[in-house]
Amino acid sequence: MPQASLFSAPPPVSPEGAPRLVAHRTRHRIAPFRFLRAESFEAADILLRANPGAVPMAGGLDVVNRMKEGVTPPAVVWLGAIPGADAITHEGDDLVIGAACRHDQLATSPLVQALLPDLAAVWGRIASSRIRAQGAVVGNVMADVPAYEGPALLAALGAQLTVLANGRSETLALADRQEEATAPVLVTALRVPLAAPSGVRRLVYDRSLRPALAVALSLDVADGQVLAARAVLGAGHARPVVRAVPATGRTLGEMAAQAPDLAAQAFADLPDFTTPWAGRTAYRRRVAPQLLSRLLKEAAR
Amino acid sequence: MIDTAFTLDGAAIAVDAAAAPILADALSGPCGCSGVRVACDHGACGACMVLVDGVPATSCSTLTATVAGRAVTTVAGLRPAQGPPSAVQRAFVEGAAFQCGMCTPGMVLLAEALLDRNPAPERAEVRAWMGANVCRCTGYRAIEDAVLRAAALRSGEEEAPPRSWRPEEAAKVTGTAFFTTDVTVPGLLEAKILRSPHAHARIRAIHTAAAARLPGVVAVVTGADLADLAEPCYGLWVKDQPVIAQDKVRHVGDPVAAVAARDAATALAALALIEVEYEPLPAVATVEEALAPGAPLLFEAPSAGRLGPHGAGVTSLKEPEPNVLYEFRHRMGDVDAVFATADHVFCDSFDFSRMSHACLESIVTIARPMGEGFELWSSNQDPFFLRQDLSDIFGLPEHLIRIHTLHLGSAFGLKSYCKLEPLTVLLARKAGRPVRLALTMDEGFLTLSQHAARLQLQTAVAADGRLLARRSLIHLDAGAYADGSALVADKVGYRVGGPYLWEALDNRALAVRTNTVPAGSYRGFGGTQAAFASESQLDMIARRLGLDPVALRLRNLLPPGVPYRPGDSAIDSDLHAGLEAVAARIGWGRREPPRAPHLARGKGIAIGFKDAGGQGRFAQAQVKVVGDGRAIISCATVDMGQGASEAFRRIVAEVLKMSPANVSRAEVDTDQTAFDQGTHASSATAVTGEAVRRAAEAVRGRILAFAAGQLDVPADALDYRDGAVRHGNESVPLKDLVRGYYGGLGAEFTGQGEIKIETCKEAALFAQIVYWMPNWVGVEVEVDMETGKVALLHLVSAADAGRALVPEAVRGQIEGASMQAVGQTLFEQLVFDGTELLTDTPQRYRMPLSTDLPERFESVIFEQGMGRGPFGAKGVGEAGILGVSSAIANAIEDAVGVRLTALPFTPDKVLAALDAKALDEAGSGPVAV
Ligand SMILES: Cc1cc2nc3c(=O)[nH]c(=O)nc-3n(C[C@H](O)[C@H](O)[C@H](O)COP(=O)(O)OP(=O)(O)OC[C@H]3O[C@@H](n4cnc5c(N)ncnc54)[C@H](O)[C@@H]3O)c2cc1C
Ligand code: FES
Ligand code: FES
Repeated sequence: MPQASLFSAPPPVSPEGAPRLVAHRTRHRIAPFRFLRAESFEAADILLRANPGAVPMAGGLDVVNRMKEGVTPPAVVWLGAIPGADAITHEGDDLVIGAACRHDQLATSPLVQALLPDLAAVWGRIASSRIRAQGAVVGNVMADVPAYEGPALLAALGAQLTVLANGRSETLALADRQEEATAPVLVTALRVPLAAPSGVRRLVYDRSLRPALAVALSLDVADGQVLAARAVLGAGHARPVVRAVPATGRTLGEMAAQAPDLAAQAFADLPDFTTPWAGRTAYRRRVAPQLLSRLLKEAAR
Repeated sequence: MIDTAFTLDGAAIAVDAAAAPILADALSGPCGCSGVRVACDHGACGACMVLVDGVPATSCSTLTATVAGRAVTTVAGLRPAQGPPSAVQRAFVEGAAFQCGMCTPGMVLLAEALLDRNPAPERAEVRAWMGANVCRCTGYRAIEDAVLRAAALRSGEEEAPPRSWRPEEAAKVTGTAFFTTDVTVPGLLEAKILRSPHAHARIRAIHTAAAARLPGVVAVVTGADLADLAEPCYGLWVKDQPVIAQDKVRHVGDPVAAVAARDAATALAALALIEVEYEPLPAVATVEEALAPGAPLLFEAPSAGRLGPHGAGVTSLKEPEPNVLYEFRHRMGDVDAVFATADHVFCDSFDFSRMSHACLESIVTIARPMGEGFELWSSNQDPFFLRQDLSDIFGLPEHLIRIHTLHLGSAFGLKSYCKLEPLTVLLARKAGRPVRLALTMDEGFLTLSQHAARLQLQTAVAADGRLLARRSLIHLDAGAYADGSALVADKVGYRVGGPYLWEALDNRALAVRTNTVPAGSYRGFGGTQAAFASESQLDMIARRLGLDPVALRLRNLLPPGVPYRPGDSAIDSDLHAGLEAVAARIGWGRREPPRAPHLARGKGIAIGFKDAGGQGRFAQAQVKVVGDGRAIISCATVDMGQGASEAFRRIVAEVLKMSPANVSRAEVDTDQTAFDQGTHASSATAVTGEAVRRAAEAVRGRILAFAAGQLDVPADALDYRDGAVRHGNESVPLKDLVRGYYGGLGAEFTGQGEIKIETCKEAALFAQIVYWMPNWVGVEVEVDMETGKVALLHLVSAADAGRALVPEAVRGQIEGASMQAVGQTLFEQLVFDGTELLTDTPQRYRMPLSTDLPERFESVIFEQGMGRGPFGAKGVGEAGILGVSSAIANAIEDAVGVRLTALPFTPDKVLAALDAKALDEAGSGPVAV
């Protein structure tokens, strides 16, 4: 049974009936393509529409890897040169992360450190220093690779994508992106909601059991009481599994004391894992609530 | 096409990004940056890393066009011409933070980027940051230390004067190292291989016409081209691997056709045009399937080949049963009688996993037809052995085959014996032009692996803990072709008793064919499998008998001077002293409190042990002293980062009483270089090194004899030191004596040395073992009882170098091998689903990173001085991989009372074992894990 890849997209399907080219993933396989440098998101949108099959590119780690696997986009639309596309701003109640913002920029941004310090701290631990230096936050989300950590962390925070399609800008919740909803879109930014002025927003994360699974927890707290708690299980499914933790209204102390129960409830109905190569289902079902329980205790401290 | 203009190492440059769309290719190609090289081609290893505007960029995964207008820095840019090196470069050299050097440019630049943003990082930060890049050689400790030292040098906190660099050090750290892949000859074609998508299939037909017609294609080779070969198959002892598939394919990835074309892209395009008609056959994925009655056969008829000789107590059989390519059996004493009267008999079974070598430099060969013969540059550990194989295959006299071997980007066994060289030669001969075949890392995964194994041990023990007898049945998964499997079977079977005194032994090892990646040499060579099982079982026995595992070993260990087995050489290490020292370092007997309620701590020890130095080996060397008194060594040990060249330089320097800086090493070229049977079995220092020492002694004798004649004094009244001949207080430069006698055109002196390990039929392996290689390991682990995750708190790995000629290299070997073992123990493995390899790309194949380092990691070098090599030296190249897995298994049992017998110990497996134990304790009876 050939498996889809843990990290990269499934290997390209060979033409009907043709045998698979074994171990032919190499940069020498990259077919000629047009490199299009977008000067603005609007221009990028036009370029994408004018070149059917063209792909948007941020850091390029995945785009290039897929071309090595035999994916042949006729054109690549590079977003990295769009002025301000890597900016992080504070707009209304949201932190807005530009489509070309690299992981490392997010992790070290003074603005993020001030407004949502947990996000900066957690982001400084994902992937690796080299990958964080090049990979974009939006690229990580849009790559649609189960092992990538961005989708789970951002879904925990209830992040939204701002997309531009056919000249129209709209917003869609990251958690609502469905597996089948893969029609080409151009993301211009990610919006991460911040805590209400009276409250605190926490994000805690356990990645110690990757590649089998990773668990993120976001918590909104005011006056020592839990307003909302959202747990996300990453790495086990095509899209992260988001669950509400039934801790609303409890004090942090109560939440910590009831952590095992709350975790068990939140992760009681996990769907079947779709990345079997990365771990046994029984094991993942067993330890996911353990990690969540620990995170609940950690967030309560 | 508009050129992409950017700044490269401070100078403006422009390249055609359409011609070189990937930055790594643009830099290493048109820009001429020798320090940028692609290893994994997948973003996973960081070998190709550069800085773009000071930020790390993975150049194999960066489009050239994106750097327009930006500043690209390669490792060469860190040291301006003739200028001082950067602090990081200096710290890497002085801290021996590299071996083969493939990862070094990326590592150096990664460190620069860290120190630029944080001039004074803590160790934990360095560990986390440097965890982005892969080094297969060093084990990371030296890299981490070098980064910390570079921070101190940069800040001026440390002001030690720099030491001078050896040429190869300078090359590796400034990006000018020259590897096989860098060789280029006029008219060079690029080759690519079409590989089987089936694990087992008959080839009905191969249609290559369309591929051959593709413009730019020069030659296409298939099994039909083997008809004219004198011997179409190769392999050690069992020659079953065709140069390219003939009638059948036997594993996914088996080469079916190969194309040589003007460039790699054309060759790949041509492969897509080749049609192969397969008739899929039932396949065997595991040893059990292969041995089942009526199992599909990989080979219907016996293969060519002849077994090597064996000595006392050994029987060996070629292809004794269906799908078994080789059987080794070693018997000593009356095992049945001892078992019949023993107080205890313990039966346990162990499963050893299988890793890939995953060298950052994969296999690369350049073949050039030369008249009737050919010339070859190949990343191969055994140039002379390869020459012999090629001579057999092509029916050519050996003198018409010339093989050059450069420094290798690590090997770990991947590059031993014949690999894809015959196929490259076949292409080159058909094309009538030079051809380069450079495998990708993905192809490397499908080319050779370590041997997975099941080891069933029955051990008879006296009530007081005396080991009496052992019977073992070992099945090695040899994959589809023999490669070095027969010899690995010998070694695992002979080593499985470990360094203990036995009354009787009966050990059988079978190499079994399966339709998976062929298995062959891998650092440890059967010793890793044997030590994992044996040292795990010893602990299990100790616990069952209520004995202390250290005490049990001390009671049974062979002392120095006692033969390993009757007829063999004597133990040449103080195993007791080593074990006691390591046990003390790990705090054996003390139990630290757990750091949290869900964590448990435990300690384990083990003694990995193997023979080393090869069997009955023969090596020659030549040392020339040139007119100015300096020396050049010629020998065929291949340097792959293990530090052999420096060891040889120091040997010669010691004999000729000069600085090692005045001794250089000539390149390996079978037409010119002194003969050697190959670079394996950690034989470089102990065997070839001894030949080098003898050659140095010989040349010294010639110089003194010559000087005696010139100065008219007896030779034994003279000394040769620092390039001058001394007589009492008088010193005459050799140069002057040479001029005086030979005239202004000069002269050279040459000394030859050689060593032959004599054959001996009383010894089981037909020659006494050259030296013994112990690896004492102590480890403390922390097991998370809720998730099954195992953390290494403290790892002590010790080896006996006899005498450490290059201590920093010895340390690097121990650490690199130990970290390989850490990976194997906890996560690194080739994962198959049936016959399909799932972990078939560098991103999916998880390799150890600096973030996997134990919290405390100590490597210990003993210099017990009993080696047979020069000045009492022994090799240590494989030691560190031998004992770690069993020590960790033993520590886990110490921590949580469960025994893991199948590698790797993933959290899932550990938790399952804990569950099984809980069920067992709850009274539901023992549960199989
Ligand atoms: C070796 C390796 C290890 C990694 N390890 C980890 C890890 O441990 N954890 C982790 O979280 N991540 C990991 N990653 C992923 C990494 O963090 C990057 O985020 C990821 O590779 C994509 O970043 P990029 O900017 O390079 O994306 P790109 O390659 O530029 O794009 C990725 C995908 O997103 C699309 N895309 C990009 N921008 C847009 C846009 N604005 N609108 C619409 N679609 C867009 C592209 O078309 C492409 O399909 C790893 C990557 C590599 C290569
Ligand atoms: S070669 Fe580029 S990351 Fe490995
Ligand atoms: S020195 Fe790091 S890979 Fe060889």
